[in-house]
Amino acid sequence: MTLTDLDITPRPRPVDDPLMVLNGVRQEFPAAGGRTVHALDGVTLEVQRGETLGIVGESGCGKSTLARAALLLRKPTAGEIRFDGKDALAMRGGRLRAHRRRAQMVFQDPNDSLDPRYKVLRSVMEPLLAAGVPRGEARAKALEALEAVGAPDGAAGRFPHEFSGGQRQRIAIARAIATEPELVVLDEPTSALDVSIQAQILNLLLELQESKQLTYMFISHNLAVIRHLSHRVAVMYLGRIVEVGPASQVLADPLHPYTAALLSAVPDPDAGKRERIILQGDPPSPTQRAAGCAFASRCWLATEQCRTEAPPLVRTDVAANPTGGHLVACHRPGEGQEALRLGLTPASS
Amino acid sequence: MTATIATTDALAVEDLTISYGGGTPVVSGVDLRVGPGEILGVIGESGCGKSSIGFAVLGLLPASARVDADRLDVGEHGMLDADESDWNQVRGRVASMVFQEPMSALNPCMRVGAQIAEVLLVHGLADKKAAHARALDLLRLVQVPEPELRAKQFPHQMSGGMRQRIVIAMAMAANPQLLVADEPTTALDVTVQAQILDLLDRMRRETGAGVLLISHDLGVIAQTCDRVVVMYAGEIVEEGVPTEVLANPSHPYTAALVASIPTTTTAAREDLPMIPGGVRDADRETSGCRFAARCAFAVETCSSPQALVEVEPSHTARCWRSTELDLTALTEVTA
Repeated sequence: MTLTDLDITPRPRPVDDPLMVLNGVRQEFPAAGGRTVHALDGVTLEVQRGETLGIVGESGCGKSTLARAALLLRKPTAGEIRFDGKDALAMRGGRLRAHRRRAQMVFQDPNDSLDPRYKVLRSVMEPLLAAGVPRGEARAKALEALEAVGAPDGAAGRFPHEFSGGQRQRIAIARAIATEPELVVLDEPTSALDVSIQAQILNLLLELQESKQLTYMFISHNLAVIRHLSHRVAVMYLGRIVEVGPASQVLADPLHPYTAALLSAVPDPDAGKRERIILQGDPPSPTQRAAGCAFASRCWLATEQCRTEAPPLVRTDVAANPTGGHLVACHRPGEGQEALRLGLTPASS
Repeated sequence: MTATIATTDALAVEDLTISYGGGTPVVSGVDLRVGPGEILGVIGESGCGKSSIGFAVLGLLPASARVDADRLDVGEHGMLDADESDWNQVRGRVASMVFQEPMSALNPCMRVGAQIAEVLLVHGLADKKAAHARALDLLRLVQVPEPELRAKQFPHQMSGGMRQRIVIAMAMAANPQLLVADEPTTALDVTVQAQILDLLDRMRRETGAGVLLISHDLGVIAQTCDRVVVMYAGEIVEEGVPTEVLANPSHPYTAALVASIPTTTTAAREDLPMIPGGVRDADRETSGCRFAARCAFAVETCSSPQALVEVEPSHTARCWRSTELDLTALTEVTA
């Protein structure tokens, strides 16, 4: 059985109640030689309240820049971000600080959010104090969060180095949920952990989402983990969203050839040796903005149109999915997966 | 060179035990055999001893490490009592290594063509001109586009996948019999990982080199290896063909490990089965089953020493209860 031919268990479809909307968000950075890195090249995305939106893509595709933009850590070069219906980019000073309570982040390496010289309690209290919560109340909320994540007894009074990697990630999660946020951005939260520990953390994340009504933006290069946690999945390539839709559709019946190639490249312990699409070369540099489709240089289906004309991200199934829906940016949607099904994959040479 | 035993195997290790600074062994009683052109996978979690094995078979362990074995043959070379100069004859020529992080194996200040040629020059296998020509051939072999141009470049001018190709070209330069690859794709993206695994597979077919592939990724092992050994707390607990071992595990640890990973057959957004606790130092000292303290099926017998026994032809497991337990429930589709 492969990742793509399996009927995935039905998940509750998120209703159309966006917590956050990104509209045409562009993030550019200056690079050497007067060039510009187009880290986000016009990203339009909705995060529905209570859902897990998985963000998949390879290094340099802009996943982490997207996370930073969503948390308002850096003002985008262009575009609009609305949080709970309000213009989030217009917030300044105290309003912005108050907003930070509502959106928190968990990093791949828990050490990034835990100061080695602080006892755990202080690290977990910090975001609360920053949001202006009085010390006594912050302390109570921090202890509550530590309990919610199943941190060991007495963890609050100990230092990060006294814990294993898995325990430290629990503590980093406690820090993220201590302010009772609505949105939690998870950037590769289990990538540094052993698989048996990964299972514990994934279970914890699911449990917290249910009990605290959290909205997750879950960033990972691990498609199996994305599949396990997400209601909807967005696939990024070179700063653009190339496909987005319900996880059961995107991961079972991908419409973009890049998604099809990515899915087939994941070694699956259940599948053993099987047919794969092996893409040639590396993703091009984000300093070169493609005139047409960003994936055209590596796509075995690319035509002249693909190289010259950027395909818009369009809904494929308006009738079946009035809201949400399955969107793809491709001039030849569905043909990549069809080729794989027929065994017509590009030669692995 | 020390005593030479005639064998065609790329690697033959018997009863390998490794300890550091006189402590509890991190690897004990490990037998490994890698045939020519074969890929043997070693899988296990952090601290199970898999990387120590990789270093030991190349004589790369620090001086504080104590290595005991009944046999340690790399190609035709018996390396049991080898000193550093013996290893220098073997490393890079008979056996070589590919690491997780290509930059740890590449000299940042040296053009990559010269680095590949250096392997041949050090072992006196070619003169300067021939070594350079061979370097270009190797770049073609590992499918580096524009080899003439790339040979003149420095590692920082290349992507991670390209650097790993260079490292593989260096490792293959002297036509070794054994390639040890320790998490060779862990730092790479999945589409690039697919390219590198495909390259390793092609390499061993074309050159007949045996590969010892160390990984924590069950998918990589299933996709690439001919046989797999599962390590737990320094011991081999199960060995066999990957499809057999991973789809039909006979050791509760393998079964629990497989079950804890989300795959296409796990129910989305349902709790994943977990392995309680962690490996304790005491587990490495017990004479019985090292997994017993965390095992859902442990009984009194499990505290007695046990051997790797055949559960099916060419499938062994170190579990007293492997024949009576039905572990399929653990690994079956929970959807």
